[in-house]
Amino acid sequence: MSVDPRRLAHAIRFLAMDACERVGEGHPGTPLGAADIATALFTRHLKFNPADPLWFDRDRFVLSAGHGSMLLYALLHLTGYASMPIEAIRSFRELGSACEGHPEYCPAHGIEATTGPLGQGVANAAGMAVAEAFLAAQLGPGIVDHRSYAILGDGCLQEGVAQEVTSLAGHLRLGKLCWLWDDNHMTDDGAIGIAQSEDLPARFRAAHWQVLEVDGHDIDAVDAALSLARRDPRPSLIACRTVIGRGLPGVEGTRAAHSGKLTRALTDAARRALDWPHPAFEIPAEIAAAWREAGRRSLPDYDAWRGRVAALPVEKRRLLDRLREGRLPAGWADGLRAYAGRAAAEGLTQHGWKTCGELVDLAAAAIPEMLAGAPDLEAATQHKRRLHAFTAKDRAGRYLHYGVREHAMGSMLNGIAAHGGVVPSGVTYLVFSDYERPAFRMAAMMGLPVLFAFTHDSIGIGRNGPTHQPVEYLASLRAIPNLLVFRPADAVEAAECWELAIGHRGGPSCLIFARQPQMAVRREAGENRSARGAYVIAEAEGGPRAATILATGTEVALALQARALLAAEGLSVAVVSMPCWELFEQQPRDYRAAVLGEAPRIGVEAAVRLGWDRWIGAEGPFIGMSGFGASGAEEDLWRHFGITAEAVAAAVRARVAGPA
Amino acid sequence: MASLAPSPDAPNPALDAQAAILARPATEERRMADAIRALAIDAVEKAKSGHPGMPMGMADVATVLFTRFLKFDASDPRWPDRDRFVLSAGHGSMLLYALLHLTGHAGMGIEELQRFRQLHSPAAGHPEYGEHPGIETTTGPLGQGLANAVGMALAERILAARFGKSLVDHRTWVIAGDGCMQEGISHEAASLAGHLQLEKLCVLYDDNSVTIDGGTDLSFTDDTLKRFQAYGWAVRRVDGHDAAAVEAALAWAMRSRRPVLLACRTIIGFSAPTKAGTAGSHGSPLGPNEAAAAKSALGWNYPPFEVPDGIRARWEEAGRRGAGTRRAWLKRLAKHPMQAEFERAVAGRLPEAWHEPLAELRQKHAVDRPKLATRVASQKALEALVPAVPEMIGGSADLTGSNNTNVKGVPSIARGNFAGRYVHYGVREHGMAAAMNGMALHGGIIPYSGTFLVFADYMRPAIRLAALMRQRVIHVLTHDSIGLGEDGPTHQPVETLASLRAIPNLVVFRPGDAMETAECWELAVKRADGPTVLALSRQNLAAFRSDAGENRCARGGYVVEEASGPRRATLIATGSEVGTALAARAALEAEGIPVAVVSLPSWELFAAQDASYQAQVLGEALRVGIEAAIPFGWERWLGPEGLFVGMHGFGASAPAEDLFRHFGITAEAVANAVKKRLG
Ligand SMILES: Cc1ncc(C[n+]2csc(CCOP(=O)(O)OP(=O)(O)O)c2C)c(N)n1
Ligand SMILES: Cc1ncc(C[n+]2csc(CCOP(=O)(O)OP(=O)(O)O)c2C)c(N)n1
Ligand SMILES: [Mg+2]
Repeated sequence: MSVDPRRLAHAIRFLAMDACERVGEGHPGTPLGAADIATALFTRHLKFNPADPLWFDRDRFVLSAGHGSMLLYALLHLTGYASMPIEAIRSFRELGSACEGHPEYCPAHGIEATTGPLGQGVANAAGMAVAEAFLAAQLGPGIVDHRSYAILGDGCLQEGVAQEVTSLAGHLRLGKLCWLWDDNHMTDDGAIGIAQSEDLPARFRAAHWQVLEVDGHDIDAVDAALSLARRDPRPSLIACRTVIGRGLPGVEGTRAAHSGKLTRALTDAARRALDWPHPAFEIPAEIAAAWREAGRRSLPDYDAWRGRVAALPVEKRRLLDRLREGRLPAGWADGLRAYAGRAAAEGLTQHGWKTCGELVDLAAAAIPEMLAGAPDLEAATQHKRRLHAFTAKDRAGRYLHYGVREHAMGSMLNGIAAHGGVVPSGVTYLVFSDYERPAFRMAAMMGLPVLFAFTHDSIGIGRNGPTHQPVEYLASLRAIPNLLVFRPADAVEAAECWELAIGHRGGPSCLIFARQPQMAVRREAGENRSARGAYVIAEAEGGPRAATILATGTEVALALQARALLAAEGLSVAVVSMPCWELFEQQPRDYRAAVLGEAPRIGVEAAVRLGWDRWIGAEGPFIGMSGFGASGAEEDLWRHFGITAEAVAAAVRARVAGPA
Repeated sequence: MASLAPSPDAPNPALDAQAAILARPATEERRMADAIRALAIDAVEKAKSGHPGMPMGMADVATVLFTRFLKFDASDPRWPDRDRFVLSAGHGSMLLYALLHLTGHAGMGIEELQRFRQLHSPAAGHPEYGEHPGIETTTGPLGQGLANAVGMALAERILAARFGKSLVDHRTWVIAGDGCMQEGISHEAASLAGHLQLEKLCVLYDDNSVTIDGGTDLSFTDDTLKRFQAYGWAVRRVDGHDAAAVEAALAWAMRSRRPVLLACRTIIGFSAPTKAGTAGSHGSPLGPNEAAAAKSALGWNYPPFEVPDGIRARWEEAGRRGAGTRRAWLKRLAKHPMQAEFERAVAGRLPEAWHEPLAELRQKHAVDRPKLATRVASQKALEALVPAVPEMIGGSADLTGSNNTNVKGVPSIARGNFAGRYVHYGVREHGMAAAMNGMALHGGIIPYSGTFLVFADYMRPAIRLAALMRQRVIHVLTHDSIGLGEDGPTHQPVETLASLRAIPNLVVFRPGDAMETAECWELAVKRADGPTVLALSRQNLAAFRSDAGENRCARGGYVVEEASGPRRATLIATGSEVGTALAARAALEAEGIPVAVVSLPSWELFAAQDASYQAQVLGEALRVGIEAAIPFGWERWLGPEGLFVGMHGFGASAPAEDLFRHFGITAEAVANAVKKRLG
């Protein structure tokens, strides 16, 4: 390449500066500081093809320091992504622009993950590296052989999730994972020294990473480090010592570079300092051409890969196509349906975690790309079963021991899903879902089909006490847009819900189970009744509805018991099971009205009331929790908190007797 | 919990090591430790549930700590200058209960241990703050205790800087396991502790190489000592079953000028003949045979729950070890010039005239009616509060300039300088919130700190625990809606208010102007029995209040503007949308439609009002909720026929005004919706 590579980096700098200046907003510090790192990566190492952004065997690049979004947009523009014309750059941070404040997931446009919340991107990249290793074991290195890169800042490394991932990635020897640390000693509050004084390379070495320390403004040095990273079986951290906002005279190296407002005077000064006489948003032809060439660098690899794919045996080829398109194998749900049938016939009553484990086992048997796992709760959740572990030595394993690292698990599941080709699921106690919650939000925003399973869903867990008893979780999960929250009542509904969740390809699902036995409430299977979100599981008998009891999960059985008690007194009561509120909301108004009925409604759920008023009205009686739980025997707790069939029946009686 | 007991023929190298240790002559200290083991075994057997492994493994270390190092006096577990002991590995709760029992703490008699894990027993499944005064914090969710301890150690330094060493000079000890070390929060907390060189913090790491899944080789092979060394900690490894070695290591820890990590090599379930060294002893009863064999391996030939008098006497002596020190401290306190101030701060009572500067600020707001972002209004409130309430310690997770949590002239805390009153927590929301819990639990400090509202998710486990423990911790969460604009959906909370409102005992405020912000701050500081969230705007908001008398936010919701005639509608809004509601009201009134506006800054406080007040505020007319967030939960206030103007999914990246228009959260949209409904 004849063009001075430093000028290539300047092209990134000025696009970033011009965009930030124009909108009067944004974070110039990272794109300016990391421009040289990115130039080394994109012009000499990254395997990608802007003409086919979805090329399955491309390297994955995640900008974990998402505030530096203009770095990514500039790279996509310069390397020739059709979706990133200069007009997009000019409209940075305007409504409808492809250049949003932070990168928003759109792999077809070269954006591999939504980033901004610090620490998420590095975890996503590690998940991608897991997916790569897993698929390489299934499809062979001729078809899957790519690397996962992330650019990250000090902020990502301060976040706990990054340490969880560091530890796990080192343990798993994810050798194709490479983190480029924009080591600029600067965060939002100022110089790093006000809040941190650790020896970061030592910490990574302690976690079995290769650590390389280079001058991040020396493109050849970064290049050489990237080459070393490729040759080492360990994951690599390249500490690139940089100056934040490099190129902005008087501002570079200061806190103001992080997100300070750029004035015309400043960008003019930068133009003089870097000898860049070109007008705003204009890239000189030879530099533009050199960048385009960089964007075509991988074409030989691309063509060779297509050749290898074309030569694959038909079966393998079909498998590859299915995986990259994210289609599930034919008949994948048969086992789940058969299970529902058996459970209905037998009246299967068993521990919620056990049912969940059996269903994951069946799903995994039918879906070879399913990768399950848990953060150190294998014994309590029993989801491993026939699966063996994904380890440093065995990449074909389909169960990942995440260690006690819920947040890493959640964010890595997102990365696995964003990579494509793998169906990721993870299970833990519902109460610890809070530790991974930032990942749910990201999955929902990205529309990733991740399966988040949870057991131990209420005070029904008993003696472990309030720290382990969710009460506010159903509400807090239901509040997240674009997330399906399933809480099945019994094994039949459980199978139905798992089928719905796996089949839901446009977003994540939470599947929530009890620790204690879930009583059989459905004695018929066939039609997937959970698909409508809520349905009448027992209509009022012997007369019009005097009341309707709405319940979810283990409380459906309580509602049915209450119904029986009331029937004995001559009160005709219907029971509605509501395994998934979100799906119910999507039903036609008539259906919803018919299910909910005109009679007084009573809600039952071993959780807080928030959200229930929608179904039962502000005056409707609710049997549930009004605060945290307690440590004690399960039976004692149900009585103590008044969540019993008798209490439900009493509430119905009182409500029917007079206006609320 | 299903157990992963080893199959009978699997080799178990821990058993050889165990045999060697058991072959050592049983010292008196060993016998004292065995008392802990026996009680843990018995309590778990009786409850038929619990975690025997950890207490059995760490009994020797805990014995050395409690008999020789920990500064405490069992007769006054709340003595302010006691050392703090945190059982971060909370599943090993029987270790703590046994220690409290044996050292002679009232309220933890043998009956209580016999009722381990029963409803209303202070010996709950996991240690619960408030169940017994000797329990310093609620633990169980792994990693939290360690981060609490960092907050306690920081609190000690801050109070020592304020009141002097003669009143404040104690240590913070933690027992943490592999699980705590794997959790990301341990990274955040340990990095901060190393940075601040909290030298009186000592973590006893139960380095037993076992977690629930089995050996740590399954998932956790990094070198934890090197990792902590990298944080700037002093580290050392010790045989956790060798009391003399542990004693020497603890003596070394006492001299350290850095926080200490002492990795105690132990055998989980020590003394169990087959389950020792395995996950099988982690979280289920040993079973009668294994339990009996474990005791006999120890030479412990007493009936369940029986501790021989000699051993009991030695333990009770240990419980009195600190009595003299405490009496001397009481004497010093009695003569100390700051006695009253110390007692006030530690008791959590606010200074006499604490609210006067705030009252003045409110008077000023009433006159000036400043148009401010509520985050800036919050800063103004802090300018009034922080000088008046010396126990308030501020901070931010690397967003000081955005959260406006700092007060001009108030110095930061730094290594070696704990006279400051502001903590740069770094981009460590989770560690921050858990450390704040620890500071509040320590006493003498009211911690407040900030981040963006959307990142409340990162610290949610700690917020939950503050609520469960009813601690006065104040979170300043700014950038509370799409009103933050260009940063886009990752930064725009839409579900966050609902998810916080779901947490019991947490009070969530979303004030709508500078006056309300000052009022909410007053309420937050006054709230001694629980945590508070202040959700604040990035964007400027016009003032709507010019009365400074009664704190109107105290009722949670109130009528800001009554309708000019019989109400046709009531617009109910929070935060930045109160202004929207008022503008909509003006438009509707101009068309002859009488409409009232209600501000609802705190659902929790409003829900606590009597029904007649609520009914009077909400009215009988059409109710319209307005909040730049999802409607989840709003049905409670709006009823089945109510309207809601807000968000129905994630936000977008654009200037704030564009977004409010794009998502239809404008006065016009509200007025149109009302007119359409009224026909
Ligand atoms: C989880 C999370 N917390 C806080 C923020 C707000 N934030 C954005 S950038 C930043 C500082 C990041 O520092 P660094 O990664 O070093 O980036 P640099 O300043 O070097 O660009 C912070 C705190 C965030 N985006 N995500
Ligand atoms: C945040 C969180 N995640 C998961 C758990 C469930 N859990 C309890 S103990 C434990 C394993 C802990 O291992 P370790 O700390 O080594 O304790 P040990 O088995 O040695 O007693 C797990 C995963 C928890 N209590 N908290
Ligand atoms: Mg930085």
